[in-house]
Amino acid sequence: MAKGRIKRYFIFAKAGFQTLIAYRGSVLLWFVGAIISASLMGLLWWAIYSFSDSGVIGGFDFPQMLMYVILSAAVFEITISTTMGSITDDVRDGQIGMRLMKPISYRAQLCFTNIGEFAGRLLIFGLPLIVGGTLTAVFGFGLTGIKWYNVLLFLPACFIALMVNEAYGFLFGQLAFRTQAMFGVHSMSMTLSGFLSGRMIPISVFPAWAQTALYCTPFPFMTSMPVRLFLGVMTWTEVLTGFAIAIAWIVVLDVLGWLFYKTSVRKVVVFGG
Amino acid sequence: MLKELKLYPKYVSMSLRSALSYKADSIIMMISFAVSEIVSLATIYLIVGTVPTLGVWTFETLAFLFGFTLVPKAIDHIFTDELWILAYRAVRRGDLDIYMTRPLNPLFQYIARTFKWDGLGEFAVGIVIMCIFAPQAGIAWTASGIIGLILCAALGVFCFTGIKLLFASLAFWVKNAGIFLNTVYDLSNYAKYPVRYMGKAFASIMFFVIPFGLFLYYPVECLITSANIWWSVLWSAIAALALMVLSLTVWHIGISRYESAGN
Repeated sequence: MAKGRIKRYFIFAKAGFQTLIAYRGSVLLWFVGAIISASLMGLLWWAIYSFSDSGVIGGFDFPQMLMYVILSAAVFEITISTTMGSITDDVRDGQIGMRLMKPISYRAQLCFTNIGEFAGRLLIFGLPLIVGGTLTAVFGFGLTGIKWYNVLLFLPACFIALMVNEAYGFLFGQLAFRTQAMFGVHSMSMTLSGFLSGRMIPISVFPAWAQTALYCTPFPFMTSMPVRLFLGVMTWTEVLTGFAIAIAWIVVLDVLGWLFYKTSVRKVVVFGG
Repeated sequence: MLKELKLYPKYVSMSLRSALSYKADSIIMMISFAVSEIVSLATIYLIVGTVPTLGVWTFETLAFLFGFTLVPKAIDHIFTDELWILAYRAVRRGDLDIYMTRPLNPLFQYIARTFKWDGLGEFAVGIVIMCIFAPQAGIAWTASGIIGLILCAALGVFCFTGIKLLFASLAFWVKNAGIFLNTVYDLSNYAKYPVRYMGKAFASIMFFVIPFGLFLYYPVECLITSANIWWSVLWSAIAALALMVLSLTVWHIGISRYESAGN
C-alpha cells in the first residue's frame, strides 16, 4: 500500500527528469552562464590572491579557492529548487485549485519533481562541470587533497543540499498565497541563501562570530558543506555531525513549511468560469 | 518625437496608478533590492578584508565605486525594465502585436508602459552609499570632478539601456534571449571590483567589448588616481553613442521580421 503510494510520486520525479532532458538546450545555456560566472569569480580571487602575503585566504590556497568557486557554482546549479517558482505559478495561474483537488499530496508532488530535476541536472552538466573543473584545478593549478571517499560522499551531501533548498523554497513559497510580489520574495530569498550558504564567498572568510552564528542555521548545508566535503577539509567528526544536523534542519523546515501551508491553503482564491 | 514626449507623462501616470494599487508588493520589491545591495556591499567588505591592500583600492573607495555603479543601473531600471520581458517572452507570446497597430513608435510604447518606481530605492541606496564614503575615499573633490562624475552617470544610463536593448532584441531571432541578456548583464556586477587587476583579457572585454568597465569603473578610478575625469566622460559618450546606434539598428531589423504568435 505504502509502496504504491510512493510509486505514484516517482512519476513526478520521472516527469521532472524528462522535462529537464526535453529542454536540455535551454538548460545548457544556463550552464554556460554558470561557467562564465564561475570563471569571473575565479579571476576576481586570482586578483585578490596576488595581493595576499601568505597565499592562504580563509584557510584555502588559490587552487583550493578555484575549486571552491567551481564546485559552489556546480552545487548551486544541481541543487537549485523549483518549488517556490512552481507554487508561485500555480497560485498566479489558478492551477492551485486543481492541484489541491487531486488525491495526491501537493507537497510530495513538488518534492519528487525536484528530485527528478536534480538527477537530470546532475547528469547533464553537474558531472561534466565537476570532472572538468577538478581536472583543471589538479593538473592546471596543482590542487591536492581530493580523496575518492570525499568524492563519493559529495553526492549524498548534494542530495541533502537539494532537500534543504527544497524545504526552504516551500517555506518561502507560502508567501505566494499572500502577495503578488513573488519576484521580490524570490530574489531576496536567493540573495540571502547565496550569501549565507557560502556560495558567493566561503564562510571561512566571515568574522569568527558570524561563522559561529551561521553554523546554527540551515544555510551552510546548501553549499558550504558539500563543497568543503569534496575538498577534503572536513574531519570525519565534522562530516558525520554535519549530515546529522542537516537532516534535522530538513525536518524542522518541513514541519514549519507544513504548518504555514495549512494556513495558506485556507486563503486560496481561484478565479474560475 | 514631440508626440511621444507629450504622451510619456500619461504612460507614467498609468503605470504608477497600476503599481500603487499593490503598495505592499512594491514595498517588498524595494526591500528586496535593498537587501541585495547590502549583501553586495558586505561581500565587498569581506573580500577586501582578506588582504592587507588592494593596490590603490581600499574598502572605502570600493564602496564609493559600488554606490556609483548603482546610480545609472537604477535609473535604467526605472525606465526600461520592460526590456527584460522582451528578452524572455514578449516575442514568443506575440505581445508586440498591439504596438504595431498604433500610430506611435513601437519601441517607445513598449518601454513607456512600465515605470518601475521601486527602482528609486536602488537609486537612493546608491546615492546614500556615495555620500557616506565620498569623504573617506581620499578623493580630491573639485567642481570639474563632480560634474564629470554626474555626466558619466547620465551617459551610463544610455550604455545600460543600449546593452539591454541590444541583447533583448536578439529575441526576434531566438524567441527567448533572456539567458544572453542575463549573462551579459551579470558582467556589470564585476565593474564594482578592481577590473584592471583581473587580467588583461577580462579588462579588455570590460573596456572595449561589453564596456561596463568604461562607464562604471573608469570614472571612479580617474577620481581615485587624480587622473583627468574628462577622458572618462569622452569614452563614456563614445560607448553610449555606439551602443545606442547598434542596439536601435538591431531592434529595427528585428521588429521588421517580427511575426505575430497567432491564436
